[in-house]
Amino acid sequence: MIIQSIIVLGSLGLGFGIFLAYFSKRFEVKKDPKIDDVMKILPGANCGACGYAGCAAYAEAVVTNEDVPVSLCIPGQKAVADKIAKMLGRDVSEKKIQLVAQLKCNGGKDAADKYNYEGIESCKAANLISGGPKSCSYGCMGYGDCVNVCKFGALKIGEKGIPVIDKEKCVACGMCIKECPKRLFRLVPKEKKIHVQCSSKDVAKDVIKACKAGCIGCKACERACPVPEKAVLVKDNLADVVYSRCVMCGKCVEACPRKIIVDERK
Amino acid sequence: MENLFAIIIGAIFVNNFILTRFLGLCPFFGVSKKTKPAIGMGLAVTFVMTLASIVTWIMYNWVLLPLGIEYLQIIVFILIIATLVQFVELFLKKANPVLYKTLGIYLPLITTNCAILGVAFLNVQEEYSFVAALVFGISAGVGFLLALLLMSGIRERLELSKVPKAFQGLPISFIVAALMSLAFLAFSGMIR
Repeated sequence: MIIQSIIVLGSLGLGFGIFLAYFSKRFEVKKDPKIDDVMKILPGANCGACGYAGCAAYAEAVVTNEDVPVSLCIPGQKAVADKIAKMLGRDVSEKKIQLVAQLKCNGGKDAADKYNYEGIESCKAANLISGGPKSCSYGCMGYGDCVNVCKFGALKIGEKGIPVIDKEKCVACGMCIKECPKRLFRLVPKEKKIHVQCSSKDVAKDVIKACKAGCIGCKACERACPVPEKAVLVKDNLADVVYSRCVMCGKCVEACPRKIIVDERK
Repeated sequence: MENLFAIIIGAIFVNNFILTRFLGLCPFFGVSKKTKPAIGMGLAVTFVMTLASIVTWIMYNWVLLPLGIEYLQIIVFILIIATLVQFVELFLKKANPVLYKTLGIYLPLITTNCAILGVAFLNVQEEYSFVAALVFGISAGVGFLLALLLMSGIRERLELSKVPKAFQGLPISFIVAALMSLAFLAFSGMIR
Protein backbone atom coordinates (compact mmCIF):
# COMPACT_ATOMS: atom_id res chain seq x y z
CA MET A 1 0.00 0.00 0.00
CA ILE A 2 2.60 2.51 1.08
CA ILE A 3 4.96 1.34 -1.63
CA GLN A 4 2.26 1.85 -4.25
CA SER A 5 1.67 5.43 -3.19
CA ILE A 6 5.41 6.14 -3.07
CA ILE A 7 5.85 4.75 -6.57
CA VAL A 8 2.87 6.65 -7.99
CA LEU A 9 3.84 9.98 -6.45
CA GLY A 10 7.52 9.54 -7.20
CA SER A 11 6.99 8.64 -10.82
CA LEU A 12 4.47 11.46 -11.24
CA GLY A 13 6.94 13.95 -9.85
CA LEU A 14 9.75 12.62 -12.02
CA GLY A 15 7.52 12.60 -15.13
CA PHE A 16 6.34 16.16 -14.61
CA GLY A 17 9.88 17.26 -13.85
CA ILE A 18 11.19 15.88 -17.12
CA PHE A 19 8.18 17.33 -18.97
CA LEU A 20 8.81 20.82 -17.59
CA ALA A 21 12.55 20.62 -18.13
CA TYR A 22 12.02 19.67 -21.75
CA PHE A 23 9.56 22.50 -22.43
CA SER A 24 11.63 25.09 -20.60
CA LYS A 25 14.39 24.35 -23.12
CA ARG A 26 11.94 24.21 -26.00
CA PHE A 27 10.25 27.53 -25.19
CA GLU A 28 13.40 29.28 -24.10
CA VAL A 29 13.27 32.97 -24.91
CA LYS A 30 16.62 34.08 -26.24
CA LYS A 31 17.11 37.68 -25.34
CA ASP A 32 19.86 40.05 -26.31
CA PRO A 33 21.37 41.37 -23.03
CA LYS A 34 21.63 44.75 -24.74
CA ILE A 35 17.82 45.03 -24.63
CA ASP A 36 17.92 45.05 -20.85
CA ASP A 37 20.70 47.63 -20.88
CA VAL A 38 18.68 49.90 -23.16
CA MET A 39 15.65 49.37 -20.93
CA LYS A 40 17.66 50.75 -18.02
CA ILE A 41 18.47 53.92 -19.96
CA LEU A 42 14.88 54.55 -21.05
CA PRO A 43 12.62 56.52 -18.68
CA GLY A 44 10.28 53.56 -18.21
CA ALA A 45 7.08 55.59 -18.36
CA ASN A 46 5.69 53.45 -21.20
CA CYS A 47 4.12 56.57 -22.71
CA GLY A 48 4.27 55.30 -26.26
CA ALA A 49 5.50 58.56 -27.75
CA CYS A 50 8.16 56.63 -29.67
CA GLY A 51 5.42 54.79 -31.54
CA TYR A 52 6.01 51.44 -29.85
CA ALA A 53 3.83 49.67 -27.28
CA GLY A 54 6.10 50.73 -24.43
CA CYS A 55 9.70 51.13 -23.37
CA ALA A 56 10.35 47.37 -23.57
CA ALA A 57 9.04 47.19 -27.11
CA TYR A 58 11.13 50.16 -28.21
CA ALA A 59 14.24 48.78 -26.52
CA GLU A 60 13.83 45.53 -28.39
CA ALA A 61 13.19 47.30 -31.69
CA VAL A 62 16.14 49.63 -31.38
CA VAL A 63 18.54 46.82 -30.48
CA THR A 64 17.37 44.27 -33.03
CA ASN A 65 16.67 46.59 -35.97
CA GLU A 66 19.43 48.84 -37.27
CA ASP A 67 16.92 51.07 -39.07
CA VAL A 68 15.12 52.14 -35.89
CA PRO A 69 16.60 55.50 -34.90
CA VAL A 70 17.98 55.90 -31.39
CA SER A 71 16.35 59.29 -30.94
CA LEU A 72 12.71 58.19 -30.85
CA CYS A 73 12.32 58.52 -27.09
CA ILE A 74 10.72 61.94 -26.76
CA PRO A 75 10.57 62.11 -22.93
CA GLY A 76 14.23 61.08 -22.69
CA GLN A 77 15.23 63.77 -25.17
CA LYS A 78 18.85 64.08 -26.27
CA ALA A 79 20.43 62.65 -23.14
CA VAL A 80 18.79 59.27 -23.61
CA ALA A 81 19.40 59.22 -27.36
CA ASP A 82 23.09 59.89 -26.76
CA LYS A 83 23.36 57.11 -24.21
CA ILE A 84 21.61 54.58 -26.43
CA ALA A 85 23.73 55.62 -29.40
CA LYS A 86 26.89 55.19 -27.35
CA MET A 87 25.86 51.77 -26.11
CA LEU A 88 24.91 50.48 -29.54
CA GLY A 89 27.74 52.28 -31.30
CA ARG A 90 25.50 54.30 -33.58
CA ASP A 91 25.15 57.94 -34.48
CA VAL A 92 22.44 60.15 -33.09
CA SER A 93 20.48 61.16 -36.12
CA GLU A 94 19.15 64.68 -36.68
CA LYS A 95 18.62 66.89 -33.68
CA LYS A 96 14.99 67.35 -32.85
CA ILE A 97 13.27 70.60 -32.06
CA GLN A 98 12.09 70.56 -28.48
CA LEU A 99 8.35 70.43 -28.35
CA VAL A 100 5.92 71.15 -25.58
CA ALA A 101 2.19 70.64 -25.14
CA GLN A 102 -0.10 73.62 -25.49
CA LEU A 103 -3.81 73.89 -24.73
CA LYS A 104 -5.90 75.59 -27.37
CA CYS A 105 -8.53 76.88 -24.96
CA ASN A 106 -8.58 79.63 -22.42
CA GLY A 107 -12.24 79.42 -21.49
CA GLY A 108 -12.69 77.60 -18.21
CA LYS A 109 -14.71 79.85 -15.95
CA ASP A 110 -15.04 82.43 -18.74
CA ALA A 111 -17.12 79.99 -20.74
CA ALA A 112 -20.79 79.81 -19.77
CA ASP A 113 -22.43 76.53 -18.79
CA LYS A 114 -25.39 75.28 -20.77
CA TYR A 115 -26.43 72.72 -18.19
CA ASN A 116 -25.42 71.43 -14.79
CA TYR A 117 -23.41 68.25 -15.12
CA GLU A 118 -23.34 65.92 -12.15
CA GLY A 119 -22.18 62.69 -13.72
CA ILE A 120 -18.91 60.81 -13.76
CA GLU A 121 -15.95 63.17 -13.29
CA SER A 122 -14.46 62.56 -16.69
CA CYS A 123 -14.21 64.64 -19.84
CA LYS A 124 -14.94 61.62 -22.00
CA ALA A 125 -18.14 60.84 -20.09
CA ALA A 126 -19.29 64.48 -20.01
CA ASN A 127 -18.55 64.85 -23.71
CA LEU A 128 -21.09 62.15 -24.49
CA ILE A 129 -23.94 64.32 -23.25
CA SER A 130 -24.43 66.79 -26.08
CA GLY A 131 -20.75 67.71 -26.15
CA GLY A 132 -20.32 68.50 -22.48
CA PRO A 133 -21.74 71.11 -20.13
CA LYS A 134 -19.97 74.14 -21.62
CA SER A 135 -21.85 76.42 -24.01
CA CYS A 136 -18.84 76.30 -26.30
CA SER A 137 -18.76 72.87 -27.87
CA TYR A 138 -15.07 73.25 -28.73
CA GLY A 139 -13.77 74.21 -25.31
CA CYS A 140 -12.20 72.50 -22.33
CA MET A 141 -14.56 71.02 -19.74
CA GLY A 142 -11.88 70.77 -17.08
CA TYR A 143 -12.58 67.33 -15.60
CA GLY A 144 -8.92 66.54 -15.97
CA ASP A 145 -8.69 63.41 -18.09
CA CYS A 146 -5.43 64.87 -19.38
CA VAL A 147 -4.13 65.38 -15.84
CA ASN A 148 -4.81 61.74 -15.01
CA VAL A 149 -3.07 60.47 -18.10
CA CYS A 150 0.05 62.64 -17.76
CA LYS A 151 2.84 60.43 -16.42
CA PHE A 152 5.19 63.33 -15.79
CA GLY A 153 3.06 65.52 -13.53
CA ALA A 154 3.19 68.35 -16.06
CA LEU A 155 -0.52 69.06 -15.99
CA LYS A 156 -2.85 70.25 -13.28
CA ILE A 157 -6.24 71.90 -13.29
CA GLY A 158 -5.60 75.59 -12.59
CA GLU A 159 -7.68 78.25 -10.89
CA LYS A 160 -9.53 78.88 -14.10
CA GLY A 161 -10.84 75.35 -14.27
CA ILE A 162 -8.69 74.37 -17.23
CA PRO A 163 -5.40 72.46 -17.25
CA VAL A 164 -2.19 74.41 -16.76
CA ILE A 165 0.93 73.04 -18.41
CA ASP A 166 4.24 73.01 -16.59
CA LYS A 167 6.50 73.55 -19.60
CA GLU A 168 9.57 72.39 -17.72
CA LYS A 169 8.04 69.06 -16.81
CA CYS A 170 6.31 68.48 -20.15
CA VAL A 171 8.25 66.05 -22.33
CA ALA A 172 5.89 66.15 -25.32
CA CYS A 173 4.94 62.50 -25.13
CA GLY A 174 1.54 63.33 -26.60
CA MET A 175 -0.57 61.33 -24.16
CA CYS A 176 -2.81 64.30 -23.39
CA ILE A 177 -3.39 64.86 -27.11
CA LYS A 178 -4.76 61.37 -27.45
CA GLU A 179 -6.76 61.55 -24.23
CA CYS A 180 -8.59 64.87 -24.71
CA PRO A 181 -12.01 64.21 -26.28
CA LYS A 182 -12.03 67.77 -27.67
CA ARG A 183 -8.51 67.41 -29.13
CA LEU A 184 -7.45 70.66 -27.49
CA PHE A 185 -3.79 69.85 -27.03
CA ARG A 186 -1.07 70.09 -29.60
CA LEU A 187 2.69 70.09 -29.59
CA VAL A 188 4.39 73.39 -30.33
CA PRO A 189 8.08 74.36 -30.47
CA LYS A 190 9.24 75.16 -26.96
CA GLU A 191 10.95 78.43 -27.94
CA LYS A 192 7.80 79.88 -29.52
CA LYS A 193 5.93 81.82 -26.87
CA ILE A 194 2.89 83.28 -28.62
CA HIS A 195 -0.19 81.11 -28.85
CA VAL A 196 -3.82 81.43 -29.85
CA GLN A 197 -5.71 79.90 -26.96
CA CYS A 198 -9.04 79.14 -28.57
CA SER A 199 -10.43 76.39 -30.75
CA SER A 200 -13.91 77.71 -31.44
CA LYS A 201 -14.93 77.72 -35.08
CA ASP A 202 -18.31 79.23 -34.27
CA VAL A 203 -19.30 82.57 -35.80
CA ALA A 204 -18.66 85.71 -33.75
CA LYS A 205 -22.23 86.07 -32.51
CA ASP A 206 -22.31 82.59 -30.99
CA VAL A 207 -18.79 82.90 -29.58
CA ILE A 208 -19.62 86.11 -27.73
CA LYS A 209 -22.65 84.45 -26.19
CA ALA A 210 -20.76 81.33 -25.13
CA CYS A 211 -17.39 82.51 -23.89
CA LYS A 212 -15.58 85.64 -22.83
CA ALA A 213 -12.28 84.22 -24.04
CA GLY A 214 -13.30 83.10 -27.52
CA CYS A 215 -11.89 84.00 -30.91
CA ILE A 216 -14.40 85.90 -33.05
CA GLY A 217 -12.28 85.85 -36.18
CA CYS A 218 -12.05 89.64 -36.50
CA LYS A 219 -8.64 89.47 -38.24
CA ALA A 220 -7.20 92.29 -36.11
CA CYS A 221 -4.23 90.01 -35.45
CA GLU A 222 -3.71 89.39 -39.16
CA ARG A 223 -3.62 93.11 -39.89
CA ALA A 224 -1.23 93.77 -36.99
CA CYS A 225 1.25 91.09 -38.02
CA PRO A 226 4.39 92.64 -39.55
CA VAL A 227 5.56 89.42 -41.22
CA PRO A 228 4.89 89.70 -45.01
CA GLU A 229 3.17 86.32 -45.41
CA LYS A 230 1.43 86.77 -42.04
CA ALA A 231 2.43 84.57 -39.10
CA VAL A 232 -1.09 84.58 -37.73
CA LEU A 233 -3.99 83.65 -39.96
CA VAL A 234 -7.75 83.48 -39.52
CA LYS A 235 -9.36 80.40 -40.96
CA ASP A 236 -12.90 79.13 -40.24
CA ASN A 237 -13.54 82.02 -37.81
CA LEU A 238 -10.47 81.07 -35.84
CA ALA A 239 -7.04 82.66 -35.66
CA ASP A 240 -3.95 80.52 -35.45
CA VAL A 241 -0.23 81.15 -35.24
CA VAL A 242 1.96 79.80 -38.02
CA TYR A 243 4.89 78.83 -35.83
CA SER A 244 7.41 78.53 -38.65
CA ARG A 245 6.96 82.21 -39.53
CA CYS A 246 6.30 83.78 -36.13
CA VAL A 247 8.99 86.20 -34.98
CA MET A 248 7.37 86.76 -31.59
CA CYS A 249 7.04 90.52 -31.94
CA GLY A 250 3.88 90.53 -29.83
CA LYS A 251 1.91 92.87 -32.14
CA CYS A 252 -1.01 90.44 -32.50
CA VAL A 253 -1.20 90.00 -28.74
CA GLU A 254 -1.74 93.76 -28.38
CA ALA A 255 -4.16 93.93 -31.29
CA CYS A 256 -6.49 91.13 -30.14
CA PRO A 257 -9.69 92.68 -28.76
CA ARG A 258 -10.65 89.44 -27.00
CA LYS A 259 -7.22 88.83 -25.43
CA ILE A 260 -7.09 85.26 -26.62
CA ILE A 261 -3.62 85.52 -28.12
CA VAL A 262 -1.28 85.01 -25.22
CA ASP A 263 2.36 85.93 -24.85
CA GLU A 264 3.95 83.59 -22.33
CA ARG A 265 6.84 85.95 -21.69
CA LYS A 266 4.56 88.38 -19.94
CA MET B 1 -26.74 15.98 -24.10
CA GLU B 2 -29.34 17.56 -21.85
CA ASN B 3 -27.14 16.69 -18.93
CA LEU B 4 -24.17 18.47 -20.49
CA PHE B 5 -26.28 21.55 -21.07
CA ALA B 6 -27.27 21.51 -17.42
CA ILE B 7 -23.60 21.29 -16.46
CA ILE B 8 -22.72 24.27 -18.65
CA ILE B 9 -25.50 26.51 -17.34
CA GLY B 10 -24.85 25.25 -13.83
CA ALA B 11 -21.14 26.07 -13.87
CA ILE B 12 -21.47 29.45 -15.56
CA PHE B 13 -24.51 30.90 -13.85
CA VAL B 14 -26.18 28.85 -11.13
CA ASN B 15 -23.06 27.73 -9.32
CA ASN B 16 -20.67 30.37 -10.60
CA PHE B 17 -17.30 29.58 -9.10
CA ILE B 18 -16.65 33.06 -7.83
CA LEU B 19 -20.04 34.50 -7.07
CA THR B 20 -21.84 31.45 -5.70
CA ARG B 21 -19.14 29.03 -4.58
CA PHE B 22 -16.76 31.80 -3.45
CA LEU B 23 -13.72 30.09 -4.91
CA GLY B 24 -10.81 31.93 -6.51
CA LEU B 25 -11.50 35.25 -4.84
CA CYS B 26 -7.86 36.33 -4.86
CA PRO B 27 -7.55 36.90 -8.63
CA PHE B 28 -11.14 38.14 -8.64
CA PHE B 29 -10.09 41.18 -6.62
CA GLY B 30 -6.48 41.27 -7.74
CA VAL B 31 -6.86 41.32 -11.53
CA SER B 32 -10.22 43.05 -11.94
CA LYS B 33 -9.06 46.66 -12.08
CA LYS B 34 -8.90 46.84 -15.87
CA THR B 35 -10.83 44.86 -18.45
CA LYS B 36 -7.85 43.79 -20.54
CA PRO B 37 -5.82 41.94 -17.90
CA ALA B 38 -9.11 40.56 -16.57
CA ILE B 39 -9.83 38.92 -19.90
CA GLY B 40 -6.26 37.61 -20.08
CA MET B 41 -6.47 36.20 -16.58
CA GLY B 42 -9.91 34.70 -17.25
CA LEU B 43 -8.66 33.00 -20.39
CA ALA B 44 -5.55 31.71 -18.62
CA VAL B 45 -7.69 30.30 -15.80
CA THR B 46 -10.12 28.75 -18.29
CA PHE B 47 -7.24 27.14 -20.13
CA VAL B 48 -5.67 25.76 -16.97
CA MET B 49 -9.04 24.61 -15.62
CA THR B 50 -9.82 22.70 -18.80
CA LEU B 51 -6.42 21.05 -18.89
CA ALA B 52 -6.54 20.37 -15.16
CA SER B 53 -9.94 18.70 -15.30
CA ILE B 54 -8.80 16.47 -18.17
CA VAL B 55 -5.55 15.43 -16.56
CA THR B 56 -6.92 15.05 -13.04
CA TRP B 57 -9.85 12.99 -14.34
CA ILE B 58 -7.50 10.64 -16.15
CA MET B 59 -5.22 10.48 -13.14
CA TYR B 60 -8.01 9.82 -10.69
CA ASN B 61 -9.98 7.27 -12.69
CA TRP B 62 -7.11 5.43 -14.32
CA VAL B 63 -4.43 5.54 -11.67
CA LEU B 64 -5.68 6.44 -8.20
CA LEU B 65 -8.96 4.46 -8.28
CA PRO B 66 -7.58 1.16 -9.65
CA LEU B 67 -4.72 1.25 -7.17
CA GLY B 68 -7.05 2.14 -4.31
CA ILE B 69 -5.07 5.22 -3.27
CA GLU B 70 -7.78 7.90 -3.63
CA TYR B 71 -6.57 9.45 -0.37
CA LEU B 72 -3.63 10.83 -2.35
CA GLN B 73 -5.93 12.93 -4.52
CA ILE B 74 -5.12 16.28 -2.88
CA ILE B 75 -1.36 16.03 -3.32
CA VAL B 76 -1.64 14.52 -6.80
CA PHE B 77 -4.07 17.20 -7.97
CA ILE B 78 -1.86 19.96 -6.59
CA LEU B 79 1.13 18.42 -8.34
CA ILE B 80 -0.74 18.29 -11.63
CA ILE B 81 -2.05 21.84 -11.37
CA ALA B 82 1.34 23.24 -10.38
CA THR B 83 2.95 21.55 -13.36
CA LEU B 84 0.26 22.82 -15.71
CA VAL B 85 0.62 26.38 -14.49
CA GLN B 86 4.37 26.20 -14.89
CA PHE B 87 3.82 24.98 -18.41
CA VAL B 88 1.36 27.76 -19.20
CA GLU B 89 3.84 30.27 -17.81
CA LEU B 90 6.63 28.94 -19.99
CA PHE B 91 4.35 28.94 -22.98
CA LEU B 92 3.06 32.49 -22.43
CA LYS B 93 6.56 33.84 -21.92
CA LYS B 94 7.40 32.65 -25.40
CA ALA B 95 4.09 33.18 -27.19
CA ASN B 96 2.74 36.37 -25.65
CA PRO B 97 5.22 38.37 -23.52
CA VAL B 98 2.79 41.29 -23.12
CA LEU B 99 0.10 39.09 -21.58
CA TYR B 100 2.81 37.42 -19.51
CA LYS B 101 3.80 40.80 -18.09
CA THR B 102 0.20 41.85 -17.44
CA LEU B 103 -0.60 38.68 -15.53
CA GLY B 104 2.62 39.07 -13.56
CA ILE B 105 2.25 37.73 -10.05
CA TYR B 106 -1.18 36.25 -10.70
CA LEU B 107 0.03 33.51 -12.99
CA PRO B 108 1.90 31.68 -10.22
CA LEU B 109 -1.15 32.40 -8.09
CA ILE B 110 -3.25 30.19 -10.38
CA THR B 111 -1.16 27.37 -8.92
CA THR B 112 -2.67 27.90 -5.50
CA ASN B 113 -6.02 28.97 -6.88
CA CYS B 114 -8.73 27.07 -5.07
CA ALA B 115 -11.09 27.41 -8.05
CA ILE B 116 -8.92 25.06 -10.11
CA LEU B 117 -8.46 22.58 -7.30
CA GLY B 118 -12.21 22.97 -6.76
CA VAL B 119 -12.95 21.89 -10.33
CA ALA B 120 -10.81 18.81 -9.89
CA PHE B 121 -12.53 17.87 -6.64
CA LEU B 122 -16.03 18.56 -7.90
CA ASN B 123 -15.36 16.32 -10.90
CA VAL B 124 -14.56 13.53 -8.45
CA GLN B 125 -17.42 14.34 -6.11
CA GLU B 126 -20.06 14.45 -8.84
CA GLU B 127 -18.61 11.35 -10.50
CA TYR B 128 -18.64 12.99 -13.89
CA SER B 129 -17.78 11.05 -17.03
CA PHE B 130 -14.74 12.19 -19.00
CA VAL B 131 -16.76 14.37 -21.38
CA ALA B 132 -18.80 15.82 -18.54
CA ALA B 133 -15.60 16.63 -16.62
CA LEU B 134 -14.15 18.33 -19.69
CA VAL B 135 -17.31 20.38 -20.25
CA PHE B 136 -17.48 21.24 -16.56
CA GLY B 137 -13.87 22.43 -16.61
CA ILE B 138 -14.44 24.69 -19.63
CA SER B 139 -17.71 26.16 -18.39
CA ALA B 140 -16.32 26.72 -14.89
CA GLY B 141 -13.55 28.70 -16.56
CA VAL B 142 -16.05 30.63 -18.66
CA GLY B 143 -18.03 31.40 -15.50
CA PHE B 144 -14.83 32.65 -13.89
CA LEU B 145 -14.09 34.78 -16.95
CA LEU B 146 -17.63 36.17 -16.93
CA ALA B 147 -17.46 37.17 -13.27
CA LEU B 148 -14.02 38.72 -13.75
CA LEU B 149 -15.16 40.61 -16.83
CA LEU B 150 -18.30 41.97 -15.15
CA MET B 151 -16.32 43.00 -12.11
CA SER B 152 -13.59 44.74 -14.10
CA GLY B 153 -16.19 46.63 -16.14
CA ILE B 154 -17.87 47.87 -12.98
CA ARG B 155 -14.55 48.77 -11.37
CA GLU B 156 -13.49 50.79 -14.40
CA ARG B 157 -16.65 52.82 -13.97
CA LEU B 158 -16.13 53.02 -10.21
CA GLU B 159 -12.76 54.69 -10.70
CA LEU B 160 -14.47 57.58 -12.40
CA SER B 161 -17.27 58.08 -9.93
CA LYS B 162 -17.31 59.81 -6.58
CA VAL B 163 -16.89 57.22 -3.88
CA PRO B 164 -16.86 58.27 -0.20
CA LYS B 165 -13.28 58.25 1.04
CA ALA B 166 -13.79 55.42 3.50
CA PHE B 167 -15.03 53.14 0.71
CA GLN B 168 -12.46 53.95 -1.95
CA GLY B 169 -10.50 51.10 -3.48
CA LEU B 170 -11.08 47.59 -2.15
CA PRO B 171 -13.97 48.26 0.26
CA ILE B 172 -16.30 49.39 -2.50
CA SER B 173 -15.17 46.41 -4.59
CA PHE B 174 -16.19 44.07 -1.77
CA ILE B 175 -19.60 45.69 -1.64
CA VAL B 176 -19.94 45.40 -5.41
CA ALA B 177 -18.90 41.74 -5.25
CA ALA B 178 -21.51 41.09 -2.57
CA LEU B 179 -24.22 42.72 -4.68
CA MET B 180 -23.14 40.76 -7.74
CA SER B 181 -23.24 37.59 -5.68
CA LEU B 182 -26.79 38.43 -4.57
CA ALA B 183 -27.73 39.03 -8.18
CA PHE B 184 -26.31 35.66 -9.20
CA LEU B 185 -28.33 33.98 -6.45
CA ALA B 186 -31.32 34.74 -8.63
CA PHE B 187 -30.15 31.92 -10.92
CA SER B 188 -30.39 29.35 -8.14
CA GLY B 189 -33.14 26.83 -8.66
CA MET B 190 -32.95 27.18 -12.44
CA ILE B 191 -31.41 23.74 -12.62
CA ARG B 192 -32.37 20.96 -10.22
